[in-house]
Amino acid sequence: MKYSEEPDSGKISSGFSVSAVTLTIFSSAVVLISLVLLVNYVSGVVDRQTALEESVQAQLTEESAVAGLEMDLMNSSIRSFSDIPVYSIGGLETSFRMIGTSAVPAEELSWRSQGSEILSVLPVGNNIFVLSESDSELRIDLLSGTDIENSIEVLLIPQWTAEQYSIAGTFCSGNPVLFLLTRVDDREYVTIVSNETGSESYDVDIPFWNESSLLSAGCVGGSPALLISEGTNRAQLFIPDSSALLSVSSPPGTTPVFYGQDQLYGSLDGSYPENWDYPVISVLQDDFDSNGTDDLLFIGSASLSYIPDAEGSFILDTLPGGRLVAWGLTEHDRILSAKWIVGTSLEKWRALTEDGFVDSAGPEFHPFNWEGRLASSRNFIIGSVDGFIVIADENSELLKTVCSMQNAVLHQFEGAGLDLIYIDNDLLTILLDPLEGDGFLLTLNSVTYKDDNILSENIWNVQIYGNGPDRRIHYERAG
Amino acid sequence: MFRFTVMVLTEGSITREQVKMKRAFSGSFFRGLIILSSVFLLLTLVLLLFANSIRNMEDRKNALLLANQIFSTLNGSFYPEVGVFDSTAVSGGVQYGIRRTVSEVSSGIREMHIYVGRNDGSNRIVLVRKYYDL
Repeated sequence: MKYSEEPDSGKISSGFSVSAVTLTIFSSAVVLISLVLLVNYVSGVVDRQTALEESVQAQLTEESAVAGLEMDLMNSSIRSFSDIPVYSIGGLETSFRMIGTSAVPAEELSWRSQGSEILSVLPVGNNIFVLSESDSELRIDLLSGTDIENSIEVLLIPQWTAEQYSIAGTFCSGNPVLFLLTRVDDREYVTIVSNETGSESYDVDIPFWNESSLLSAGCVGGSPALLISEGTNRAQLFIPDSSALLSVSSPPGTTPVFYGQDQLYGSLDGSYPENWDYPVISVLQDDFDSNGTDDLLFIGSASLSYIPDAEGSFILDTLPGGRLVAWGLTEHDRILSAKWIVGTSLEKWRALTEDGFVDSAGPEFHPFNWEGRLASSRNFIIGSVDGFIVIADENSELLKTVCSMQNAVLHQFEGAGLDLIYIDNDLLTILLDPLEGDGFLLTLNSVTYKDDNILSENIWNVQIYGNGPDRRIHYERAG
Repeated sequence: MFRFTVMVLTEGSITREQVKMKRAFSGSFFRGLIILSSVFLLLTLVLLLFANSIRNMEDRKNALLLANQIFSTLNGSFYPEVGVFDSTAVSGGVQYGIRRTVSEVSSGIREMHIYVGRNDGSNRIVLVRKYYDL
């Protein structure tokens, strides 16, 4: 009954009123602050996402631009490095500015065997078979293309007891195939190695075979086949699929070989009796007369036989008392030349003309003591001097020693030029197109932008090797 | 209002505790409750409004990651076939539709657009790259 008179009743009323207002204000503030925070957060997320999308597109635009620049450099459509076009894609643009140039050595690829010593290498197209030995174990690896780090082990022989061996390779049904000819306990074995079909061994009776025999591999009716010759004009043709061992002959001064697309130079009907007058030590296949068709060149110790287009008549060159010491294409205009030593020291050069081989002055420049195979370009000549592969520079008239000639082979591995493949213990090196000389390093600053807003800026190193359509270009971001 | 309540209380034969309880559930308390409920509702509404935007951003982020992954696998000497190619991918439990359109801009140059977004076509991001037949 006295509640209305209680002194705290007014306090209660007053307290509730204040709390309600405070609560309203506080609540409004909470709502407002939350709203502002959320708006800020969401707009921040949207801005960051938009910037991220633009950044990714800027990166793609820049990569497209560099690839476009590579194509323009390949096509030689850029006249001046100070005037590189602007590349545009995805609403963004990339411009380049040259900030430096310098020379870089000829490009090299290298591959290291896993702790084993490389015995020999055999290039087949843009593949290389590598034979290496470690703890009486023979391993055969296959390197393909310029990505040679990704090698495939195609054969492992745990107990390698061969007294001697020879190798030959070819392409058969699109796959590189290796023939490994071995002699174990006076018996000969032919092993066919392929990364597709594995390996198969055949016991074949080839008593005349030795390590200096000439081997030539090819494909007969889709099956791999091997020619084994002592360097004369007779050879044995072994076809593993049929286990056939056939006799093949060719004109004196030559030896039966496979060439081109599985074509056989030689005859199966025994047309030519065996002739030991002009033993062949090496065979070269190249378009020596630049008519678009490969020719054959049989190199003997005292003879040189040239078969244009690998068929029909041939030119046999010999010099009384002379021995052939160097051969190959020399000069700018690819002249097939041969260096002879008559008697003990008389040097004579012979060059191929329309009238056959005639005396010539030899290469106009680089009067060095050449031996073995020669190859040349506009400014360089590569060959062997005193047991080493050297590159001679016409401009500087200097010789650059590359490697021992015992472990080196010239082969068209990549592109149109000749590459030098050589080994040193467990290291295989491919010197790409050494006849093109040094490469060229171009340092560029790239800026990718939208309107006037710069989105990305980078430094690029562009390496350019060679000229014309065979030019090789590599690029990478610096730093 | 408060006074009216007190008047009613004086007329009844109820205990002091009951009166206090009734006071607690009356007047300002309800006002406060209504305000708090309104605030809660408002905040929920605001969150709902922004949740959609945040989800959209999450979608775009996943779509960008997917597109970037696709481009990173299509580099080097890759030269795409001309055409339209559709596929799907799941990221963060959400299925995304991926469309690649490749057109020949000029001889030896192809342009690839990649569209990645929700299967219904929403929240789609677009990236473009050129490829050269080197």
